[in-house]
Amino acid sequence: MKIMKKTKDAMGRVGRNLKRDVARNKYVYFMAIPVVVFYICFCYLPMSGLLIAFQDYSPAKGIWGSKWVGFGNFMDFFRDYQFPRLLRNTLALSFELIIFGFPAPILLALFINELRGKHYRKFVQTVSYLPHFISLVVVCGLISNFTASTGVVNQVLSLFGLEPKTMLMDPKLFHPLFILSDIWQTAGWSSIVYLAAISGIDPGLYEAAAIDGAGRFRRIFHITLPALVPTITILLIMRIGNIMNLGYEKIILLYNPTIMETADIISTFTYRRGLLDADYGFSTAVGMFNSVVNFAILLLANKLSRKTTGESLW
Amino acid sequence: MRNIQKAAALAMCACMTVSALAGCGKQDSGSPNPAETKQETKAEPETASGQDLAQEPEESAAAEENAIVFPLEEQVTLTMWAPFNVNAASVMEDYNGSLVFQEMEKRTNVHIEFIHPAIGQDSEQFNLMIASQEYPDMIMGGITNYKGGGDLAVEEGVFLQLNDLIDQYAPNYKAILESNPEAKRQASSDSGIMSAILPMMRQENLCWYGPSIRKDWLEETGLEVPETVGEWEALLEQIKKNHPDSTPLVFHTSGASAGNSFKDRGYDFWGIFMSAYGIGASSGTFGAMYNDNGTAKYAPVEDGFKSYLEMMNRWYENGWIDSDYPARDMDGINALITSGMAGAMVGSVDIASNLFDSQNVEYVTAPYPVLEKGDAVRLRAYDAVASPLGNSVSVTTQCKSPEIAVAWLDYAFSEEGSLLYNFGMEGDTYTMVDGMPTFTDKVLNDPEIPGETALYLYKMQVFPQLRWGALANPSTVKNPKVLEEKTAWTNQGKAELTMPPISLTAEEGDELAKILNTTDVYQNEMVTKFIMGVEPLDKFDEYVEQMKKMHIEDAVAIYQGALDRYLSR
Amino acid sequence: MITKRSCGEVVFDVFNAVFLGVLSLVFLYPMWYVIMAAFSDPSRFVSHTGLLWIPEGFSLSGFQMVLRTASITTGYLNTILYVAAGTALNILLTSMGAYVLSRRKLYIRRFLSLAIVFNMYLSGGLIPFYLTVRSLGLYNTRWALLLPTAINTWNLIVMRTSMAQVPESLEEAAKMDGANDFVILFRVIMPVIKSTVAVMVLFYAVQHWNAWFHAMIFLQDRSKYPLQLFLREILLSGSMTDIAAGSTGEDVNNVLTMNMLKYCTIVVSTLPILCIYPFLQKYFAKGVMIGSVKE
Repeated sequence: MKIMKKTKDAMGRVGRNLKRDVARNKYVYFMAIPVVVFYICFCYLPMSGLLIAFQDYSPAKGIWGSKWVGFGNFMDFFRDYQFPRLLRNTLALSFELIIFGFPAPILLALFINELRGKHYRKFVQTVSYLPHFISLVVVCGLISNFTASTGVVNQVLSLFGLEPKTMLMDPKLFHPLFILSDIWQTAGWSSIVYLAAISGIDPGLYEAAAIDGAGRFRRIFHITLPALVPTITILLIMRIGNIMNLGYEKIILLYNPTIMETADIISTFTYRRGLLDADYGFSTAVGMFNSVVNFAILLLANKLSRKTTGESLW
Repeated sequence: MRNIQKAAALAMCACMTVSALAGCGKQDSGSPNPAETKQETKAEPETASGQDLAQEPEESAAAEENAIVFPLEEQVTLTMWAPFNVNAASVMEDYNGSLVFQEMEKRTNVHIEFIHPAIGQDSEQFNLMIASQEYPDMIMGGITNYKGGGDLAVEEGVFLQLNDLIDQYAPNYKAILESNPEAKRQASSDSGIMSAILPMMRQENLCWYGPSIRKDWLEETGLEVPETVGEWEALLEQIKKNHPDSTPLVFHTSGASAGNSFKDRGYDFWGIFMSAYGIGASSGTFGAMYNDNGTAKYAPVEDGFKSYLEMMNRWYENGWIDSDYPARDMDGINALITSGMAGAMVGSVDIASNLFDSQNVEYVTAPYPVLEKGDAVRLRAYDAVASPLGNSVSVTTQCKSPEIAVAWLDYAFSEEGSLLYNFGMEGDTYTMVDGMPTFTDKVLNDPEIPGETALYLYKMQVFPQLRWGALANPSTVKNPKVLEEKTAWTNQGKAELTMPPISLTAEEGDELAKILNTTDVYQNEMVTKFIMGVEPLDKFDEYVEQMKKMHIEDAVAIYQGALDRYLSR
Repeated sequence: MITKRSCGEVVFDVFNAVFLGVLSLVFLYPMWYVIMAAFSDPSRFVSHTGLLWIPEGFSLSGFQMVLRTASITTGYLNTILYVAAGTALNILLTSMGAYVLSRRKLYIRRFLSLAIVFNMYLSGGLIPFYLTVRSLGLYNTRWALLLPTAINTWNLIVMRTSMAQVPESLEEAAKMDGANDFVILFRVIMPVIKSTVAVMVLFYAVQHWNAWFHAMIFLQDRSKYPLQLFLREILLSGSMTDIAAGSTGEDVNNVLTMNMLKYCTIVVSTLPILCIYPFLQKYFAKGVMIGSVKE
């Protein structure tokens, strides 16, 4: 009884507060309507599909007609012989991507911003995002072409006295190759956000700093970087919250039996399983497992960020 | 902005017309469905027959006539969901642009309204269509795309069981099944259900896959075309000696069935050399299972596989096969061959002729290798009688007139229908020469219409029909050398060591996917290590043990069960 | 900016210019390679290995095949429509959403933010999404390509972050003049963060330009297909797995030309969208006057 009364009170309080707030910000609420409708229609309504994770789903029977299997799909996944290796590789690749891949566009933006000569700057900027437009099939074709034993990379390395070898057949080299090529593909495109944020900085700040006698480096560290902190923080939180989501497309184009031990990840595993057997229940269960891990990490990261920088996603 | 509004208004209009159309469709499917009730009666074994159908008021007219006579007096429109082909898309909006279907409409007075999903990724779009629970009258490729197969689709009320309809309205198809026991076996499932009308081969299709050798390099060695594994080794050794930088033998996976779960390139995919050791292929449509006289077996754990790996390891160490094969992608393989650095290749002969011709190099094909001279070849690339299954057509429970649908499909199995589908129109696209239909210049030598487009414009490559196979393929007919080579391989041996088109239940499919997804990776990793010499072959037994721990024997047992059921059909 | 550069700065400038120059080459090369490959002679290109600086031979056969097979004109017109209408809708909804989420004192702000971020990490999967869009009557309409992608949450958050940095004093001043929230959003805030808006336009436009998946599952009429879907169709059927499936080797005639398709389609589909970048670039270069950065 007591609890019910309490919740009722709380609900009433929320209702009253909301009413007051709506009255005060009616235009803001008006603006929120289409946004909320969008999220309800296209994101929350389809979420009933998460139930598929607990089913032996049959498209013909639909969610309400399919057989329930409890946590069977999850257990299949956890019990799989490859599970530890898949989890290890996924986490390792993701962490490495965050550590090395995430700062790359920031550095690139800073470097581009410091370039003297307007036209040169524009040129570099434009060129840097070209790889973003090239399909993965072609990118991966280039990667395996360049890293072959007779490829360009080996030719360069042999100048330093290194033995040429087919790099995609060495399990130790797969992660560095994957990350370097990822930076190559995405750094330019991702740096656009940072460049936009930099261009939003008041030039007056730089002028004032220059008058105070601050050098270039001090200006970078005391004006440019601090101005980027909110953007960096928010993007980093979102990136960290995506730790389990590593796409399969690039890896299936690059891996082969000799490097499976470091290259095989969760998404490639589900992809192969999907080829053998269109099992929606299983892939939804794996997706859900990823989401839960992601969301837990996201909560942590967001909390940490709120405490340290004051920025947070919500 | 105004333009955008205008465009949006246009889009609105388009949207309204379409939803109006969709509304009509819905009404049809929503009304009490004779087909559905009929299907229920048929689900009980042995009760359904002509009399049963006659009891249904809607059916009485058709049943009284007991046959459908084409052309129909009034035009009937049926809808069909059918994957489209990109070569067809270059000359037509949908399959009605094909001469075959224009003629079919004249001959039958049935108009087919095609629903083509975007090309590629058909299975995903198929599943969405099924999930929407609004089905067209007919579906192509339904039995391969439906998870759990045709039987389950019938059981779940999506496809009609066609047995009785075929009995009554498909005399030509029925006659083929009666005359060919293998066709009959493949046309229905283990439980005797026919859930689709399948394409049938008129005669055995030609073998398209095997070894071919550069003619000049072969002549250099002074050796004969190799027949045994030993002769192959002698040849590869000589080629390596003459051309130290070359790769004497390249395995090209194109033209092999695309059933492997991840790329395992560059080794003997179809088991050309493997079969010399008495075992089936290590990969293929059916995982790696093969049928040895009624026993299901899995090649990579058989004893013969160890001897095969010893051979491959020797070849690898000697540099006779590509040292980078695991990482070589298709472009890389093509580059290797066309740069003139390959002595021989195993692959589709169509592609071999393509690749060698582009470098103006002559090639000769070699027979399938055996261990000792005179051994029989027990494995080769082949097509089942009822193939390809993807071209089968099922009739759905929402079909307005299943009898007409079945009769329409049956027409392609009649003599004149088969000629129409395979060769087009007599006098226009083909003429009879010594009793053999022969394509005219219009099909063979039109620079505007390449061979692969002619397949859809002047004849109809897909759809269930009595197939003439390679004999009705303009590209093959045009190239007599390839035709001869294919015939030679076909006559050399039988495809005994292959798994016939068995069917698995949904549970078996799930179980198998679970097992094979794990074993495939391990097996591929280990086989690569054995061949490259990273792991010594002493470890072969350990590897087999590990495979057993991963339940490979359960997977074999599933196949054994399905094979037994198939053989006792 | 008038101060003399110190020795360290000069070294840095030189290093920076050289470093970015080398980097530019690395970034530029793949596109260069694609263009050179697209114009190469298929039978010569196939045996090419290593770096490619000029076309291997010269041939337009790949392009001919693309043009013959895909309905390029229809595709382009549709794509332009989807890009224009879609991006306009995106910017409208995203800016409104971002405005709502950046109101610090708004009662439902945290709840709304959480609810929005939440579905970045959890989605119901393809089938329920498909059925929902169908039940909304969008199947086989152009709206199916516009509405379900009306907001990209990642972009929304970026825009919100940017708006949150606009000093409140600007809004206060506008409010004093009697401006309502719509006026504040579109007249005060958007101009201030126009570099971010330009980025959003670019991101959304490129997203629409490259999109094919929704078109594949929601459109039935080929006359509504965007360019990318046409191109993807030929690309897919050019891939070897498909050729392999035709077990009798029917479609293998053009193995070598098929190989070129992946390069030709990139040239056909990418060059136009590359052209919009320079127009947006001018918004990045100019600093915008802001009183102070955050508070």
